[in-house]
Amino acid sequence: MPKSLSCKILDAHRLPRGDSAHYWVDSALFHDMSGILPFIGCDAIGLKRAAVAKPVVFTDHNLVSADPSAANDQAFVRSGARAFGLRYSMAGNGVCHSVYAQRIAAPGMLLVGADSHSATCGALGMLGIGMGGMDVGMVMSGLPLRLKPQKILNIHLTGALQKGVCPKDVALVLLKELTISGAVGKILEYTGPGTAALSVPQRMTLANMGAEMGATSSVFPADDAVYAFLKAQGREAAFVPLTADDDAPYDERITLDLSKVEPMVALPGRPDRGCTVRGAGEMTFSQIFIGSCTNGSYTDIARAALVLRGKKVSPETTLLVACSSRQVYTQLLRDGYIAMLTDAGARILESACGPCMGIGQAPASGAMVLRTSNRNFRGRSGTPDAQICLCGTETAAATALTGRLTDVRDVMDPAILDTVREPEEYPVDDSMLLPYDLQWDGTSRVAYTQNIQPIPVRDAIGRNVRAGVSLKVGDGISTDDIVPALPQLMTLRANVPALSQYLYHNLDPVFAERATQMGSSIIVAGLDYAQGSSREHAALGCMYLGVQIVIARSIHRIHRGNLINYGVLPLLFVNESDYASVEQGDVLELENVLEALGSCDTLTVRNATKGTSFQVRSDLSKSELEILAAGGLLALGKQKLKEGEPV
Amino acid sequence: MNLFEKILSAHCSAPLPAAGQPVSLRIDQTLTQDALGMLAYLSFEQMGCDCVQTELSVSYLDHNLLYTDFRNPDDHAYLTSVAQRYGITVSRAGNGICHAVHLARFAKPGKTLIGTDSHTPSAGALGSLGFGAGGLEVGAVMAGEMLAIAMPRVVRVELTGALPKGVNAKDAALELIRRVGVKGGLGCVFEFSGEALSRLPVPERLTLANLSVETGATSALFPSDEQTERYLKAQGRAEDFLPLQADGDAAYDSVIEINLSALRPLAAIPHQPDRVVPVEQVEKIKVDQVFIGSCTNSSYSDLMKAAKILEGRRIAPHVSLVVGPGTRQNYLHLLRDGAIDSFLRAGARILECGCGPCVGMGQAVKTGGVSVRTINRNFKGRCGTADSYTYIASPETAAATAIAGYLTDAASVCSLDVLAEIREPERYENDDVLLEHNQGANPQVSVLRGPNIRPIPIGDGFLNRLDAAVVIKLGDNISTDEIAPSGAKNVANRANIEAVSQSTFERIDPDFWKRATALGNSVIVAGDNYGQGSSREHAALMPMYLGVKAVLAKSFARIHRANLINFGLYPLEFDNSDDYDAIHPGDRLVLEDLTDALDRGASSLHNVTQGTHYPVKLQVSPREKEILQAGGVLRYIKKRKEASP
Repeated sequence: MPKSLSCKILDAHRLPRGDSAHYWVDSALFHDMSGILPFIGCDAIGLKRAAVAKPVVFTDHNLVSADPSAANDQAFVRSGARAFGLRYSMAGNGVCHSVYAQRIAAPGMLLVGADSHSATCGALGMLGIGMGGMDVGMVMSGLPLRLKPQKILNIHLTGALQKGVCPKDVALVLLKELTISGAVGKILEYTGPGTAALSVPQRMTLANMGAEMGATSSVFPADDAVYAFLKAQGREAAFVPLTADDDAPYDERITLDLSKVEPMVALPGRPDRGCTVRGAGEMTFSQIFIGSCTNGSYTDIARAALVLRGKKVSPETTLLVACSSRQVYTQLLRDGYIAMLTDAGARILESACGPCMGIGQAPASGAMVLRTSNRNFRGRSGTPDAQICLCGTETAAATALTGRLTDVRDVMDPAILDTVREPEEYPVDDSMLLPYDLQWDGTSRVAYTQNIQPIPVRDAIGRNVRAGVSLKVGDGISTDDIVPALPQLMTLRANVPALSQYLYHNLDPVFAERATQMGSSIIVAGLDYAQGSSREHAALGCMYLGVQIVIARSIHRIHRGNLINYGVLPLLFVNESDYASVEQGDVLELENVLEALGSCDTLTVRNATKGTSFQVRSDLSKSELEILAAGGLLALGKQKLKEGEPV
Repeated sequence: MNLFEKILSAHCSAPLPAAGQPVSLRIDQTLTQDALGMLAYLSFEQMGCDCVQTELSVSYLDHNLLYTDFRNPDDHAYLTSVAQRYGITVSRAGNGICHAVHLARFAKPGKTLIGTDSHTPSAGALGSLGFGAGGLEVGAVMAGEMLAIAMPRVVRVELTGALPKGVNAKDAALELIRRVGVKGGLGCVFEFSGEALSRLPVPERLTLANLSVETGATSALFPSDEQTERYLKAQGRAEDFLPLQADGDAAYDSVIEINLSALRPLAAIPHQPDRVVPVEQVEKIKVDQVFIGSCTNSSYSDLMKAAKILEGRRIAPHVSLVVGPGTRQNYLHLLRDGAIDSFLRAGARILECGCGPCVGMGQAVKTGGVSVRTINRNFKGRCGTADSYTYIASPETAAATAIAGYLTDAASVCSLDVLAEIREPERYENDDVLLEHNQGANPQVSVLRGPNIRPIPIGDGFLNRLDAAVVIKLGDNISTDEIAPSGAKNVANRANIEAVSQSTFERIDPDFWKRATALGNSVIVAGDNYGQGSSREHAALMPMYLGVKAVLAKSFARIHRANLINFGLYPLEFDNSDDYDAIHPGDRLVLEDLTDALDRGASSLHNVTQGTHYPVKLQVSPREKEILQAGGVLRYIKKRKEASP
C-alpha cells in the first residue's frame, strides 16, 4: 500500500511491542530555558546517560544576561549535557533550529524537541515534534514517545515564486487559509513541483511556521535540494532519498500555486491575520527586526542586504538584524553582506533568538514594529501594548528604507535578489557544538545552584487513599492563581521547593504551610479549574506539597495532562452539585483507586467527616493510567531505568 | 601657563583662583548618555529655554540597548524627541559609545565639555577639557549657565620611552592608577606630556584620559600636536585642529613619571581598579568570561590586536568571549579588515556597538563567576552579578586569556610579531548614518513621554518659615546608595520620581515614603558625612518629592550638599554636635526666618515638642543663597531666563 512520507517515518519508529501509539526517537532537543526542568527531572530519576542517539542542548534563548540568573541557567544546562551526554551548542553558535538543521538533521529521523518550533528540521525530510520539556526529558530517558494518531495534510505546491516573493509569504498565505488552529492534530506534508524548487533554508521557513497553524509537525521530501544542502554542510553521507509514494493517501489536501503568492504581512495580534503588503494600507514602524529561526538564513539575510545595498535605513526607524547561526554570519561576512547592512545603518545583533521572544529589543510603549519572526501575539515583544506585524525579509528591508510598509518591488528590480544562492560549501566549524563524548564522562551530575534545586520523585498513589481537603476553591481558578505572577517567582522557576511555598499565595497565603503539615491532601475545585497558561509548575508545585488528588467540576485540558505527568489524580464530580457538600478540612476516603478507574470510569468518595459519599469519574486513557500507576511521568521514567530497558 | 590653565582662562572671565577656590567657566559642548541623561533634559525642559545655548550638545543612546521592557525604548523615544525639539544632536542606538563617538566626530582641541558620565574627561585625548557632572548641572549648562567647580591642582604626567609590543596604553593607565590609587587624583587634573607622546596615537591617549577618572581626578588633558592633527585629518576634520601646548616654563603642583618602555602587561584584580599587579603574578584562575570592548579599549587598533592574537586559534571551551566594537565606525573597519571574521572563527560572540557588559547591561556572569574585561571599573557587582570577580586588563591580555582559559598575557599564547603593522586607518569611514543633526528650536515637535516618564517635580518654591516634623533620625556616613538605592527596579524608574521616590531609604526603613508623605513637611536628622558616595541627584530629589524641606546633620558630603541646595532643600548643620542626641523622630522643628538665616549663615532652631532651641549653621555661597531663595536651581534658572530673555 502506498504511503505518505510522514507515515513512512512514523512506521519506521513504531515500537515493535506495546501501544501502537508509542514510538522510539532518534534525537531530543532542548535549549537554555526549556532544558532546566527536564534535566532536574532526569537527575531525579537517576538517568546516567541519554537513551536516544542524538540528544542536544542549545544555548540560544536567554543570552542578554541582565543578571546572573541567565549565566547560572546556562551553567546548569551545560552540567546536564555533561551528566547525560548531550551535545552542547555554546552561546553564540546560533539558534537551535537553524544549527540543528545545519549540523544534525538527516532524512528519516524522528526528533522530539522542547520547543514548539522543533518541526523546522522537517525541511530535511525528517519529523520534529515539539513537546513540553519534562515529556522530552523522559523520552530522552527511555520512555517511548506517545503520539495520538495524526491526520496527514498534503500541501501540494505548484508554480514558482514571483521575483521579490519568499517562502514566508507562502507561509502567511497558508496561515490565513488554515488559521492558527487549522492544522491541530495534523502533520503537514509538502509535495509538488513548487516544493522541489525550494532550497532547504527556504523549506525551513515553511516547516517552522507549521507550528503557527497548530500542526504537530511538517515534512518535506528528502530530494536533490536536501542532498545539495547536506553536501554543502560536508554531510552528504547522511543523505537518504526519502519521499512519499506516488499515489500516497492523504487525509486532506491543499494545492497552492506559488506564482499567485504576493508579498504578505500579518497584522498585529495573530499570525493568521495576513494580507498583501500592497493591500495593507499605510503603516509606519519604529523598529524592524530581520532574523529568528524562521527567517535568519543566508538567503534571507543576503536578500535583505541587497535591498539595502548602497542605500540608507530611514531615520524614522531602527533596523535590527540577527543571523540565525554563526555559520550564516561567517558566510555573510565573507560575501560582504554584513558590511552592506552595516553601511546602510542596520544594527547587527548576536546570532540568537533575542527579540523574537521578547528577550531584548522591546519596542516603546504603543509602538508598531515589523518582524520576520513567527509570532505576533500581544505582548510577545516584551511590551504589552506594542503591536507586531510579521513579514518576509525582503518586505522588512524595503520597509526599513522607506520607514513605511513597502512592497520590495516598489523600490527596486527584484530580479537582482535571485542572484543570491545558498553557498555550495558552508564554513563548517563545530568548535562551538561540543561533541557527545567530550561532554559525557559517566560520573558527573547536574550542578544545582541556589536557584536550581532538585525535585523528588513521588510514590504512586496508594491503593486506598485517606486524605484531608487542604483547599477548596471556586470556579475559574487560573494557573496564575495557582502560581502567582510575583516578581520573586520569576527567579524561582527551577527552584520547586521554594516556588511551592507561594502556591495560591494571593488566595490563601497559608495554603502551602497547611498542605505541608497535612502530608498528603486533596484539592477540591469548581468549573474550569487551572485555565490559562500552560505552566507546569502549577501541577509540579501541588505534587511537591503532597497533593494527591484534585476533584473538580471541570479541569482545563493542559493542566489535566500536567497533573497526570506529576502523578496527581484528576477527578471530576459525576454530579456537579456534590461540589457543595465538601468543605475544606473534610477527610475523604477512596478505595481501590486505580483499579476502579481502570475497570470502570466512576469511583465512590466517602466523606469521613460529613458521613456522606459521592461519585467521581475520570477519563483516563490507557497510557495515562500507566503513568498514574507508576506515580507520574518521572516515576515511570525511573521505573523504566530500573528495568534496564531503555526504549 | 600649563595647558589646563590656558584652556580654563580662555573660558573664564575672572582671573584664575588658587586651588580649592570656586571658579566658573563657560562650557562649549555637552554630552549626555541614555542612563543618566534623562534628568538633564527633564530639568532643561523646565528652564524656559527655546533651544540649547551651547555650541554643541549631543545626546548618545549607548548604555541601555537591551530593551528588556518598554521603559528603555520609551526613554530613547523621549531623548530623541526632546533633542529634535531643542536642537540637540542625537547619536542613535547602534552608533557607538558616547566617549568614543565624541572623540571621533565632535571633540575639538581647546573646547570645554561636560557630560552626564564620569568618563567625560576622555575627550582630553584631543586636548579638550571634559568634566563629568550630574544631570541638573548639564541641564543648566545647556540653558547657558556657567559651570562652577573648585579650582583643581594640576599634575604633570611625564611619559617617556615607547610601549613594548604586547603592552597597551591600558597597561600604562593601570600603572598610573597603581601609583596614585583610587582617591589619589581627587581635586587634580592630570596633564600628560613627554617625548613618548609623539608615538602615542589619539585612541591610545583616550585610554589614558579615560582611566585617569579611576583615581578620582577631575579631568585629564593631552596637548594638541601632530598626532592630534593626524587623527582629525583621518576623521575628515582637519579644520578642527588647533595646536595647543603648555608653555615651556609652566608650573605644576606635582609630577609623575612613567617610562613606557619598562612596562609589562598588568591587570587590576578584584575589586578595585588600583589593585594592579603584573599579569604573570596572578594565580592561574579559571576564567568564565572575557569581554573586549568599552569606551576604554575598543579602538580600531585595540580590537585589531585582539583579533590578530585570536586569528587561527580557538577560545577555550569553558570561556564565553564577548566582543563589543565601541563604535559603528570601528566596526565597519574591522569588518573590512577581517577582524570580525577572526573573532567569529575563534568562537567569539559579537555584541552591539555600545557600553553593554561594562555597566552591567547584559552579560552578567554566573554566580561566583570570573570575568576578565578591558573596561575601567571592577567594583564588586558592577557587572550585574553581586558575588563575581572582575579583572581589568588590556585587549591583548584579554584575547590571550580567552584562548588559554586563564589570565595570561599575549606572549604566552603567540608570537608578538602578529601585532606588528597594526595602525589606525589613514582615513576613517564617517558616513554618520546614525547621527541625527538637529539645529535650533523646533516648537512643532511634540516631546514623547512614555507612561514612565514624568516631569521633574520642582518643589514648593521658597518658604521663609520652616515648620516640619523629624521623619527619620540616622547615624553617621549615610551614603547616597542608602538614600536612593540603585538596582534594576529603581534604575528603570529614574524618570518617574513619583514611583522611584517610594524606594527612598527602602533598605533602612521601607515605610519611610509613606510616613514622609503623611507628614507633608518633614526634616531628616543625620550624623556626620551625610550623603557620601555616588553623585546621584535622586538622593536629594526623591526626599524633596516626599516633602522633606531640610536635612539637619553634623556634616555633609560635598556633592550631596550641593544637590540638596539644587533641589531647594536646606542643609542645616548642628553648631553643637551634642544636640544631635537630644532630637527624637517625630519632634516638631521650627526655624522662623530662613531669609535671615541665609543672610547670617546661622540661626536658631526651635524644637517645639521638647521646648528647646539649637544653634544651627547654614553657610552658603552667594550663588547657593540665590538658588535656595528661588526654591531650587530649576526655579532659579527659570527666573533668570524670564528676567533676561
